[in-house]
Amino acid sequence: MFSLLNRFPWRGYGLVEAILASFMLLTAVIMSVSIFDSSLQAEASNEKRIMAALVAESALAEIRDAANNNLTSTAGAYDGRTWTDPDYPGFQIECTIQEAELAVPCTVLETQYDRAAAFPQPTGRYLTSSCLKADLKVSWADGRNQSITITEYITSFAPADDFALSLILPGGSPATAATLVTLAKDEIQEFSVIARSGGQEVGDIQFSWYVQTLTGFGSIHAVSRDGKLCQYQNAYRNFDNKTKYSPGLCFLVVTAKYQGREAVAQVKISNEP
Amino acid sequence: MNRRIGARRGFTLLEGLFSLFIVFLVLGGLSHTLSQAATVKKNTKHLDQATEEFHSLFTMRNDVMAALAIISPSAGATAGNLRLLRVNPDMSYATRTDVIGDPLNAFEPSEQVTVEYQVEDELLKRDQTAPSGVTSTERLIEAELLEVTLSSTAPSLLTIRLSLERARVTKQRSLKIAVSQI
Repeated sequence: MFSLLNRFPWRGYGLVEAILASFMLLTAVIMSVSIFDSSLQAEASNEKRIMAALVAESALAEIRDAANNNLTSTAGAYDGRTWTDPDYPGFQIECTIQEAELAVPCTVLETQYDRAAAFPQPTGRYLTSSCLKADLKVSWADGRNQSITITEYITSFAPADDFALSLILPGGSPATAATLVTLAKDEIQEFSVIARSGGQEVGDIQFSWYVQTLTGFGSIHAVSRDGKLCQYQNAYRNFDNKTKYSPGLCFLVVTAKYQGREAVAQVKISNEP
Repeated sequence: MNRRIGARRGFTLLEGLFSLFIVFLVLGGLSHTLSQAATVKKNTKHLDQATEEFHSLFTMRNDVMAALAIISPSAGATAGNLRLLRVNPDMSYATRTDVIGDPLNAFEPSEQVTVEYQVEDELLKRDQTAPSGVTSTERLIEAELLEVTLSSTAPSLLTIRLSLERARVTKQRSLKIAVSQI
């Protein structure tokens, strides 16, 4: 027997060697399979993610349409709502809507102003009723629960057909075509303006004031940063910063733009000599 | 006696069983790997199709968002095509406001095109027709049916629905678009 082994030096594997080799082989196979498996899961998940993006876009379009029709009722209709698009039955949509406040033109600039300041001190400008913050979560089951979340600020882009301004006199009544406000020399009067559309007061509008000369003119003394309040003075300053007077009639005019429409309101002022 | 004369000998039962186990293990791993490779190929194809569907629907969305008017479907109706009027996307704003024509009007009729989406020969096509009558056609994706619905009130909701046959299974893909004015 020993002579035979000496004559044939090669021999088979021992049981331990074979088990070790098969263990290593098995490890290699399991590793390659797990790599395939995770790549498969990722690919399948990517396809679902593309579909989820379509679902989210469609759901956002529904909310945008609701906002275009009635911005104020949109939050009540969609906040906390959960629903499924019939064309994508495996995807569940959850929506949260909050009121959003936007600084105009930017937060960095507007936060420098004191929000509690009273006119004519400047204060920050914020849009408080122009848009809603919608958080939309689309979830689906793909082995484990998966989801995407999209956040969008939503506003109404529907054109306002009946947008109008009402210039408010110092006494609180609205100016009419027949109104004539008489101001003594150097006198300052404060006017305000209200914008309306669809029977409701419209907030978050930037107003612009100017003086239109007829037979005389005064000047804009101060305007609040949102343009809602304006102080008119029966006087003006020339380039040498000297106070001058131009007695006679003029219009104080205020304008604003809202959803593609421009509105104007004015009041006639008599500047006394 | 025989073992001495013939140096070769057969496998023992244990060796044979163990070899078979290893062979089955390798073959099992191989077949699993091959089936996984087939699944990868199938998934890649599905992913490509999903990307194409997404691209086609968003191409339509971009045209709707840039539309000056939606010609078809009319308000409150459903049609097998989407037809709209928009500014020629091939012309830059500088070109549209140059001295040729009205430099103050960037929306002149000569600077507009009609865009139409329809399914023809099982293909979703995008036709862009210039005022001169020249039409360029873009083939987007294989599709069975296109259905476009515009709700009756303005502001309105436009729903695009595509039926697609994938591996002998009909799939529905849809996209809604909010339209502030028609």
